[in-house]
Amino acid sequence: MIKLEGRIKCPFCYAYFPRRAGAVQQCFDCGREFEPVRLVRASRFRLDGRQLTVAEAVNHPVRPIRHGFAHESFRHPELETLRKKYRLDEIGKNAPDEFSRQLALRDWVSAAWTSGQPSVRHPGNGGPDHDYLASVMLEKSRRSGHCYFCTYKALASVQLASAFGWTARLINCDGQHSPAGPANCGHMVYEIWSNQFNKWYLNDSLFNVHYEKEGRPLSIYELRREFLTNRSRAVRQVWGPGRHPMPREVHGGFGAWSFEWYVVYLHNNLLDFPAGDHIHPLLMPRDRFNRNRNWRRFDPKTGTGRSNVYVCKGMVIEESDPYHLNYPINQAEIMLLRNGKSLTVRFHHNLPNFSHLEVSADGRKHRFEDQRKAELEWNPRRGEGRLSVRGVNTRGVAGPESRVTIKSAD
Amino acid sequence: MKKSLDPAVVLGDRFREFQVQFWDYATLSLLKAFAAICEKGGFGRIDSFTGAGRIRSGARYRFQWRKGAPLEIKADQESSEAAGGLVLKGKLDFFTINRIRNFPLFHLRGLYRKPIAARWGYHD
Repeated sequence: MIKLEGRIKCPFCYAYFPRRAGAVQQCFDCGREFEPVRLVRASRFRLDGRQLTVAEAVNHPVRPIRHGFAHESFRHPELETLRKKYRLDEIGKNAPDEFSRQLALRDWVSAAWTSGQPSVRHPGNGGPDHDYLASVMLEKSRRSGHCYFCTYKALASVQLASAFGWTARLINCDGQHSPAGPANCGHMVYEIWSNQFNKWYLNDSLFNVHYEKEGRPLSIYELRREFLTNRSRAVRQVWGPGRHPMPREVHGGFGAWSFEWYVVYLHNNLLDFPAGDHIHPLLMPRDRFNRNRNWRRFDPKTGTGRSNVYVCKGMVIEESDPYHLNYPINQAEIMLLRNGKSLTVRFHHNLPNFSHLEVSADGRKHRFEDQRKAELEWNPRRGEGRLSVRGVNTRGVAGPESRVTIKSAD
Repeated sequence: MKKSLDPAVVLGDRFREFQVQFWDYATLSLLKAFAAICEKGGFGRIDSFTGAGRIRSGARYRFQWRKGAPLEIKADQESSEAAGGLVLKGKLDFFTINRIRNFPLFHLRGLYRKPIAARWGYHD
């Protein structure tokens, strides 16, 4: 991996190369010359005799990915079947924002079947068969009262998120064994990408809960840090789409809910590749908190902890960089280049299932379906010029907006 | 597909009354959280519930909640009612019942919980 410090990204071919002295840069890869504008607040530059200042810059840079992820196609026919059969568009229809709608989906999955009741059928010893498909689970639970435990709830949630145009990822988590012995059997949850908060956050569709700190939903990485640094004192578990607070004693570093260990499944194309198919790797945090330690899991046969969970299968990528553990998606980046009398605007995105870029330059709308061809000549309006961009996926879901406001002295 | 034994499936999808089992040693704070959510309509229309539980020392208690009133919890050594049961009254459909059964208070139902859960806490 190249180090990005001191390097600049080519707005044409997206290659990184060392920044050279002077305003004009030349890409080492494609050879093109360009003069970038620094997109930070209060940055000043001259354009056609005008003194311009960056008054606001909320830009979401797209950095190279270190660990690939196999995404579900939002055009998968199975998703269309699910949308129609279960009228998924009705879920959270009146929700005021994306976050509320995502919670409504989790609530819907939680309500779709009971998790493990001895009076009804259970996946049991016969293996999951095709029950890893949300359509099969929904059918069997409604027709004959089948129930499925956390793994299946999370699987269904990730698949159904794709039907909405949201990206979710499967996570297995656990707590460290206690001094008296191994504590847990692990728990399967999922993270969903929030365009509203521009971050991943964890959802548990079995218990219909997520976790918040100061009103913001937390990712599993944040939850793990909270537990390991202050025993989750500031974290609150909240239930349902109404975000009802739960008592702290049932989740404050309690068993798997401490999230000390976890792996992220690096794929969500679960309709064709069941989770744990040993084709796709898993991503696990490895840092100062778990250096030289093993993730052990309770073995009911021996009554003790066993093995080095997941790592022993040789499929785990161990990562210490929080950026790459929580690699942001759905980003659309603005790159401004001085070009004589105006600015040339170029873009870079990392949207899975990309459809197009929506650009607004001083109120004028533009649509680009090919980011390499997406280029705009922009002469910021006198007084205050505004430019914004966001990516839109094939389900019409828009990513977080990047925007820049440029003020001129005249 | 084998016929279900689950009353929520067998008897249709509307109940005026429904019984749910819970772990008899479940914490009172979870019960209070459940009552608070019922009060705010988080589980749809639930008018009331009654039940019995016990604390670690073995002391039994009875509880009762009605919409608009606070949760009442009383020590009760004389009760013949088994601890770890709760009767809900209101309008309960298949999905509401699933939602309730998955609530942490009821997830560790006596028959479902495994020795590991009883000893160390929740899992799956």
